[in-house]
Amino acid sequence: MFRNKWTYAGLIIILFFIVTALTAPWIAPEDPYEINLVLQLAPPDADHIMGRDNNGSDILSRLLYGARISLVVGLSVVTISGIIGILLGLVSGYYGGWVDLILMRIVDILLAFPGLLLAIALVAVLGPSLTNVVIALIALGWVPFARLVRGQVISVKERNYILAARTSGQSDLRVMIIHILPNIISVVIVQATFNLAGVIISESSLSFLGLGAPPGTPSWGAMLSEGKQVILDAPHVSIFPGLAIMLVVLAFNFVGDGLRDKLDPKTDRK
Amino acid sequence: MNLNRSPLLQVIDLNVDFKSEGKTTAILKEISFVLEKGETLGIVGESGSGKTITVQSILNLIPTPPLSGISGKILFKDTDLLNCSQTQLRSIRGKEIAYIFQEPMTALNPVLSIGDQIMEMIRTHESTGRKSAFQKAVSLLEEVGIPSPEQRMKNFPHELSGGMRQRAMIAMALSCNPEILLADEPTTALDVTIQAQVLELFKELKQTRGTSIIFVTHDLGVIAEIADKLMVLRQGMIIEEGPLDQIFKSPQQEYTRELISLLGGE
Ligand SMILES: Nc1ncnc2c1ncn2[C@@H]1O[C@H](COP(=O)(O)OP(=O)(O)OP(=O)(O)O)[C@@H](O)[C@H]1O
Ligand SMILES: [Mg+2]
Repeated sequence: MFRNKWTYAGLIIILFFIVTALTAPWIAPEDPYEINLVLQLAPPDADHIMGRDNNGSDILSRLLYGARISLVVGLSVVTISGIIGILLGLVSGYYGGWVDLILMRIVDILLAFPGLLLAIALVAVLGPSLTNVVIALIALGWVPFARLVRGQVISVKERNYILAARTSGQSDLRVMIIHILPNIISVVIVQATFNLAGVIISESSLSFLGLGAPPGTPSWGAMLSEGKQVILDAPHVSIFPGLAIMLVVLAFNFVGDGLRDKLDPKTDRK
Repeated sequence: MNLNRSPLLQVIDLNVDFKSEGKTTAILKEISFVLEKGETLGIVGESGSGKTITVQSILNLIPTPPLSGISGKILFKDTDLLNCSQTQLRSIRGKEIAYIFQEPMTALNPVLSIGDQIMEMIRTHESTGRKSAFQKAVSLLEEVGIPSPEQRMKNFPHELSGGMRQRAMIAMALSCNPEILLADEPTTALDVTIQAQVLELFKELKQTRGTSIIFVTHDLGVIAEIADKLMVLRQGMIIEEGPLDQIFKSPQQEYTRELISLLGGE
């Protein structure tokens, strides 16, 4: 089905990631919030293969719970910003004119700044919390979708079958949703896959900076941040969350590449 | 005007101007014609003579660039199509007047099945459920001569031959039982045998449904088979019009004579 074996590797990792996120409460060996100061920074051993952190909590358990945060934040941000971006892109590309002009100026402005910097500024204004991280990432996340969809709509809307649909009396909304959207949805899905990776990194980065999940929450970024203080004495505290972020982000990128190859009309498909 | 005698479609002094790079060109000049119920009007003319623009004007389809000016009247029953609301226009498009595109290859959506596209069309204008829309689509496909229509419903355009696609297009155009069918070179892109079959289909539709048809082509031979009357366009003007046999018997214009002589043996 996919030409590149890395796509399969990515799929397996993502599947594993999702399953662990869903089943964390049952498979985690310990309560991720349990503080056990006696065992502070205990190195990995046979019972606790990832060791313990600054509070003596089991790192494996915290990682499993952290997967839930990454998954929920990733999915909610990408879904909501995707829908907003698709709608704006459809309207902008389909109608053109001043609507398009204004929207695309906003897009240009937002794209002129480094995304993470804007997110930091937004969260700083809204106040640090996981919810505000999600809001900030949505506020910025629709931009690439809108731009992508607009471009696709412009190339599709002039095609005869779209004109034919309009000629047959179908309303603009129907034409956009039923006739145009299915033609561009595959490109959007590829984009969404890459965005998921991006959002997971952004959430981790913001939590790492203390702008996301409150202290003590098992977000991977926050865990990395806690590990940073003791990186020389207890490298395992930061290595495992770091690895988790890297693996999941890589996996989404592999899958995104595979999907793009498969769905791109320019590459041959059977 | 006597209302009982008012024709189905009446085009009066249609002028269309296009503007490109600051230069305005008259694309159609003083086009007037009448289409009665059940009648088939053939429009012939060389490439670029304005056939497509004439037909597209009827449904108000020409986008504003390149269009820079349109004047005249296009009366469908009592509605002036050049001067009515978008809502009115939408309720006429597809339902009362259906348009069959010049290229059947590109006028079907590649990512939707034939069935979905026909059902979509039906449900745009009629409030029917999916089930009855499905039944209706199947019987339309049957009517236009597509074998095993139920299986074909699931097919995507690329899975059909050119002739099949054109038939599917015609089925779609017929889905709301329009009073007027605008067919823009519906057979040109097809090979000769298929062309003959599709033409046969149009003739059947004329008889069974009594649909009025405007049939555009640059092939007088096709027109001779199907039209009741004829209009010859050249450079955006009507240079000859009248009943079919009259024009074939005694063409007034040298240009028409040439077209007829090209047919050979007529
Ligand atoms: N989008 C457009 N922009 C500018 N000029 C156009 C456009 N479409 C058509 N024209 C011009 O309008 C004139 C009439 O075109 P039209 O498409 O009606 O010709 P036609 O008789 O249908 O020709 P064909 O037999 O090739 O389909 C032509 O001179 C053409 O160059
Ligand atoms: Mg044409």
